[in-house]
Amino acid sequence: MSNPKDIHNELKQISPRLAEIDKKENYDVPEGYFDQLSEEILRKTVKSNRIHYNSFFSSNRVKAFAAAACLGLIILAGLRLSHHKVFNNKELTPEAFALEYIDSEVMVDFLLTHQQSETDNTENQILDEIDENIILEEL
Amino acid sequence: MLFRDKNRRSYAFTQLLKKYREKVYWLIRRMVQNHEDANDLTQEVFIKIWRKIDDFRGESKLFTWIYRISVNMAISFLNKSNTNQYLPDAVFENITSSQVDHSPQEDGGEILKKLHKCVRNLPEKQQLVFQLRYFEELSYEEIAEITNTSVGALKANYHHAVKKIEHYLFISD
Repeated sequence: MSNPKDIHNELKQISPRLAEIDKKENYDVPEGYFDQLSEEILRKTVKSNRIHYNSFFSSNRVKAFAAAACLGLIILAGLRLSHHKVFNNKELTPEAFALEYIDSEVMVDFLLTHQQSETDNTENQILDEIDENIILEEL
Repeated sequence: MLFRDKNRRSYAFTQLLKKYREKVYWLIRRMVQNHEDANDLTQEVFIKIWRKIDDFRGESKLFTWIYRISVNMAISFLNKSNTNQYLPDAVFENITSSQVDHSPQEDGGEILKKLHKCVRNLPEKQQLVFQLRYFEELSYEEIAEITNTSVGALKANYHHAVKKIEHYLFISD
């Protein structure tokens, strides 16, 4: 810090009238303000570090968050697995799986229908080929 | 050992806070005028000191480092809030008596209020050097460290600032 007398003398040389002004502070602050200010600052610095560190892992909110995160991971893993359906020993994407499924259903229907119609046709052919007289004989 | 060091660090910070809280507050208050803004900025200054104390290398005095943080924060706040309306020299010298009442009966408090108002309208460099020299009573060398300006330039700025304030307070009527 500089010597206040030197500063005053310097000012007196530049502006004698300004040097006469009483510099006493004309602003005010609420009573006990500076102690409250210290408390507030310490709360946000020194104390905040400790509270933050101690309470972070011990608070119920953090525990609940951790549990929710684990549950989320399990669900996510399940969804991920369901994406890889096995069809005829092949790993398939959901779209391919859907197509395979539709195809297989159609195929079964087709085969069943075709078999039925083939059976029907064969029976009809045999029946057509057999002489109606023999049938009548048998009957 | 680590815990003990932490305690020592906390104790040291508490002492630093006690020593500088009023100086920092008043420095900022004179710059921004408003108590709420000064309160917020003072808190921000000390939070920054707490976080950045390891960056302080002792190349300058601790108080000039703290003042530099305070001044920079106040200037940055004023620039953001656009409340720093510096008057060009010509306008400053032509302030008329209609804008400033110079009744002979006015007390010291009133003159000081006008002085603060006047300082607010000075260009940034002049405002800073006047604040730090007139109110904080710092040496030019200390102000040079805080503002990163040469001593010669500071002396010139202080001279200009005082002359403008004198003109505003006593001559323009």
